[in-house]
Amino acid sequence: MEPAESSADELSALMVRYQQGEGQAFEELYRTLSPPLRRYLISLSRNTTVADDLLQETFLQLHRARHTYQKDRPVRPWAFAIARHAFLMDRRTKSRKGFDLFPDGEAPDLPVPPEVEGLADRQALNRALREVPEERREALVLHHVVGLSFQEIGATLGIRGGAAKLRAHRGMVMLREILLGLRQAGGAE
Amino acid sequence: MTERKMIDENDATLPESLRRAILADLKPVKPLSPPLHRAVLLVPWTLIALATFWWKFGFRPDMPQLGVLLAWGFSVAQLLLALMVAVSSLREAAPGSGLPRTTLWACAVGALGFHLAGLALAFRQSPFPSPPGLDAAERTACMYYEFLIGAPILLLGLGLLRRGLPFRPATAGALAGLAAGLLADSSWRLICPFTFPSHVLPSHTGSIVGMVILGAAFGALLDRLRPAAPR
Repeated sequence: MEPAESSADELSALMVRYQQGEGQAFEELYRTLSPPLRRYLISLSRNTTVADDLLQETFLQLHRARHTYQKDRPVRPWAFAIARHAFLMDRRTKSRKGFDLFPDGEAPDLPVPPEVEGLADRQALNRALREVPEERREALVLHHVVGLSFQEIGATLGIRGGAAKLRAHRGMVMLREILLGLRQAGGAE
Repeated sequence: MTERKMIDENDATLPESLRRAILADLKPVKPLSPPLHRAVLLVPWTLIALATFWWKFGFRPDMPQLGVLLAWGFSVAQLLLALMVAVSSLREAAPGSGLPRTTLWACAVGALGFHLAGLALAFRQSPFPSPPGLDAAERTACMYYEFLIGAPILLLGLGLLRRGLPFRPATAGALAGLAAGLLADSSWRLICPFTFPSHVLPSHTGSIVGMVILGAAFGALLDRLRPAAPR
């Protein structure tokens, strides 16, 4: 089992130990949460270097805000909401300073939902995923790649679980259509 | 940004700089109590203010015309709605537990609508204008007292928000302002006898709106004053 798939109860117990000042608990949390958080941050920032920086920023913010976690609530939406906020703040700062938000040449492989992996090669999948509007792609990645439930995605994004489901579904439909279009275009050539 | 490190997708090695920063600041923390428990802290001042103003001015003279339901019932219901608004504000302060925007709007509009309905019913039951020539003075006095009751509640609400990490600080602050305004009005409406819209809309509802604006402004300001994360 991938570390990210630790049960909600285990994560909650780790968070409580972390709040009590146990360094080992933080390290375990990092091991569990960092791979899915990194995948999410790559899909948001489309840049591995930025995603790595944001991952560290996320854990620093998570540390500062560790008292805001309440043990009866799931850990993952709490952590992903912090990661999302770190990304949005970074994007706001960069756009104020006039930086290129998605510089060319640094585009990494985006995390791709397993459901569509067989439909095209990696390059086409990346291209198609980039064409899906951000809010749909975000829900799509959080559900199909990271494995959050729609309820958890709703809590992360500040929307209803139903709206998260709709976004992910529309994102998946759009992704399939784009891939089909790419395949037909390839066949015509 | 801290140490940059290239890792593969499933690598979960903790960067040394991050480990050092965290371990240097690893003291136990007290988790936030549930939002409702914190929201209840806003109520005592409302009750103290009500007792003080009752002692100073007495209850409004048209209590018998209004009846228990329209006088006390509406105040208690408005207080409970204010608590609900305060809870939604405090939920904003914990990442991943904020309510959807549409729910927040419904909550705010519903609470304000209930307040307006209370004013309208009170006017229908007991139309009572402010004394001729004293309109402006009475309006100012009511605004003053509503702010006198509401400002400490707003400050406390903002203090509670500051303990958390609201990602929409202006929204959270505006909701704290709405809660403070509604709480203040739930007690002051039992003292002020005037029911004409020309009095209650600018002074009572206006105070609530003013508190919302103040809350949003201070909420955004508090976010800027937040201490930086450890490096």
